[in-house]
Amino acid sequence: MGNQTELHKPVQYWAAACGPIAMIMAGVGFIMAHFLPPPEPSRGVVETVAFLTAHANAIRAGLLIMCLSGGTYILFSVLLTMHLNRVEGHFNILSIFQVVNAALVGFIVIFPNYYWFYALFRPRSPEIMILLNDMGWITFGGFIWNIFWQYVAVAVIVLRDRSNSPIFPRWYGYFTVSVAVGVLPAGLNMWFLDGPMAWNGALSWWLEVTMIASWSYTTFFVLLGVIRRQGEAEAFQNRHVDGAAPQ
Amino acid sequence: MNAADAIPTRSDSAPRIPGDPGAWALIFTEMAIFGFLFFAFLVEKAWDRPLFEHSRALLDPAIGFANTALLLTSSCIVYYGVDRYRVGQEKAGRIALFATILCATLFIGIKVTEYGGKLHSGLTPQTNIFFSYYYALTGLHLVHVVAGATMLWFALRQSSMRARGARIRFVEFAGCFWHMVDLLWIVIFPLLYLS
Repeated sequence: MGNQTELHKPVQYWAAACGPIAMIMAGVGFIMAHFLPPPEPSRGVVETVAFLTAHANAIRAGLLIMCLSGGTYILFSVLLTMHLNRVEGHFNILSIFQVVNAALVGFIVIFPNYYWFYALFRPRSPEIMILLNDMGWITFGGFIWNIFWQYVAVAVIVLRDRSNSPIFPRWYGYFTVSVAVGVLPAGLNMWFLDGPMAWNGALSWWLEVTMIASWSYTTFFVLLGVIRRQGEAEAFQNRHVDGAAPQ
Repeated sequence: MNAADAIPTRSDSAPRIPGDPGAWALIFTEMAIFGFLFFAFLVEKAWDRPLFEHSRALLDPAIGFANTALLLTSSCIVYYGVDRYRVGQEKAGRIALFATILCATLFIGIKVTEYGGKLHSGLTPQTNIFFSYYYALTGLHLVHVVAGATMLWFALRQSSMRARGARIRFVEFAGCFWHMVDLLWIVIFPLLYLS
């Protein structure tokens, strides 16, 4: 009956909590950096440079917290992958596809911050500053290509589980489909200087961050249930294998 | 036999959620996304009323009205189709679903023609904030039209080897999703073309 310890439940609960923790860290980091709400893309060169240099240290410190959240998100996704593996079985193509994309999500919330670090590293000409600022925002807000596929993989795995006692609830699979749709418009932010599709717009920013945050919190609560039930299911299976009649 | 295996009929004695109950998470989340966008649109409109009024005049309400009529008709047809599936007349049900898909195709055709005309006369998503919203709202809605039509297609092409209960539940889900597509358009049409 060693399986309760083999399941490393305390580690699992901490890993699950890392989803919301990543969101909180990202939020706190961005608020510290004065990046929430995001500055308008239509701001001119002078204004942008003044903004970046006025808050140089706050931006560096806030974005460092954002950088730390990347690994937290990966740990959370690895836990999710372990449970998606249980659904998918041995030939777990989609779970691995999912975790590879999650790792790239962890990377892409870190990488664009370095554009702002480069911009603030030494005194630079305003044109270069605004270029780096554009690179940071367009990449940070618009690079949804990996998180989109992560959501698609999660949804497909969960919805393909047709067993009588599915490991993940079906509504969670359907919810993840709409989250995948909800983040997609942000990928078009390179076209717009203002309006809902710009990097600070209703569709390209606010919908995107709302979707990502609510998915992370929902997944956290779903995972709590999955972890809690895991022991029961496995204990049941062991009894069954031992030849004792279930119940 | 648990509740999930029961075959849905028209005269279910106990109240029942149509389709796969979990699928309503999808429908509600999609409606929340659109609700948020409608709210954002109205806030922006309050900031710059003259611009929105002036831009709205460049849209052709007749086209919007034609699409509204199409979707309302298709919603009635899909209701009839789901009902036929429940009473066991699946052939009639399949014909109704096919007619709904035809309406969807016509809707897409009209929408694409409208986009073509607008782009040709230089009205792009970058023109102003009204047209940003016009393309964003109708474009996202169009994605849902395509998704809904695809689901209806899979619903009517379901193998008769599948359990009847599961088959009907998928038809119900596709039908409910289609009603949502219709409902969203009924808000988008007055919001963009009329108000």
